Amino acid sequence: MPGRIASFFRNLLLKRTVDQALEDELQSAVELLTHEKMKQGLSHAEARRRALIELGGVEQVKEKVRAIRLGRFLETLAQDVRFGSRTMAKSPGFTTVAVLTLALGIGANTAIFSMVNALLLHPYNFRDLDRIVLVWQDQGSEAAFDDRNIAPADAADFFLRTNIFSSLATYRCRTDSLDSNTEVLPTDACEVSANFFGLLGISPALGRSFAESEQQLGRDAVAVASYSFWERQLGGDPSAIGKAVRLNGRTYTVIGIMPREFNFPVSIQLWIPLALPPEQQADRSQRSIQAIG
Amino acid sequence: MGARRTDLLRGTLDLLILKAQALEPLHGVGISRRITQITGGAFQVSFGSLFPSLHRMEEKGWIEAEWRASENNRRAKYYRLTSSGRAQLRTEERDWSQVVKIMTAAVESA
Repeated sequence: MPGRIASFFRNLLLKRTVDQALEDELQSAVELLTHEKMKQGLSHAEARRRALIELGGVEQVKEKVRAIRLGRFLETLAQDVRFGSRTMAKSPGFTTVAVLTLALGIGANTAIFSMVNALLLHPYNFRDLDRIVLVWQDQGSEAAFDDRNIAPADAADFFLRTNIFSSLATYRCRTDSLDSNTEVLPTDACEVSANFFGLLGISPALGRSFAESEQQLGRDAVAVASYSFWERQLGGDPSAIGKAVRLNGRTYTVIGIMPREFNFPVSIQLWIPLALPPEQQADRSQRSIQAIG
Repeated sequence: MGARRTDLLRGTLDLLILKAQALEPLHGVGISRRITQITGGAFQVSFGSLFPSLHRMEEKGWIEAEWRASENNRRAKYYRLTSSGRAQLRTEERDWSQVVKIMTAAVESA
């Protein structure tokens, strides 16, 4: 067994060394044959020529030897696989633990990598993702509060009084109550400014997103649904555009369905216009909304 | 009758190659010459068969190789029978005698 393992690694890891050794061996054979023929009185050139003929082509011999080595390798591999299966069949307990350990290990790694991949490496497929930032406000000693929230008037100033943003969208999310026919369902909904979807560069898969005018109170009874909401609550029906949904006792008209992969912020089912009354728009004390720009 | 290149049965070739090395370590050319010698010039093994066989035997652990100086002071790869190679040689000799005995009896029975 140790010889076989040694030969396995020699063949696998030191393939070039093996090839070199084979080359050396055949060259040495050529020299031996040449020497033998020169002793019979032939010139060196003629002796070498006949030596090569007798050997039958160095490359051809090398190919045949390589085929043998490869064949042995595959045979050995098959034997090892059979031996491994037999051993595992003999001790099912150990095998189960080993397989479970591997399965859990691989599974956990895959799950974590998928998450890291989705969240950190390929978070969103927004247009100009590298230019989009979430606007946070450092609250210094009041750090107990959520830095992500800012006051509406501050958000407006960030956009109007600086040259930092080419566009700034605001939003706030909460869990609302959806009145379906038979029951009241908690539903994650976000109020978003009209430029929200445009800023992210994502258009609805069906219908349209919000118009500027729908950010005004009284004209804001429209909603954009997520793909999963559309499938579950609206029957996945293309004619769902124009249907009404009741959210917190108010009726909204569905005007658009977002693509399946659109999910910002996380697990939102309905987006509705962020229509703030003027006094809230001017407010700097309540950090009530979030901004992205 | 000159030396013939003979397509030997693989088992026969193995036996001859092992037998050729029974006395002393030899390099590939030496083994070929020894086979020609011990078969009275009847068999001349081609190198295209000999080297693959040698490497297969080495993989199986029947023989082991070592580089050393040859008779004309060049480096050559010498093969030597291992203990498992000697055991293999005895087995193949026994098998061969068996075959010869059986075949001889069969041929002469007619």
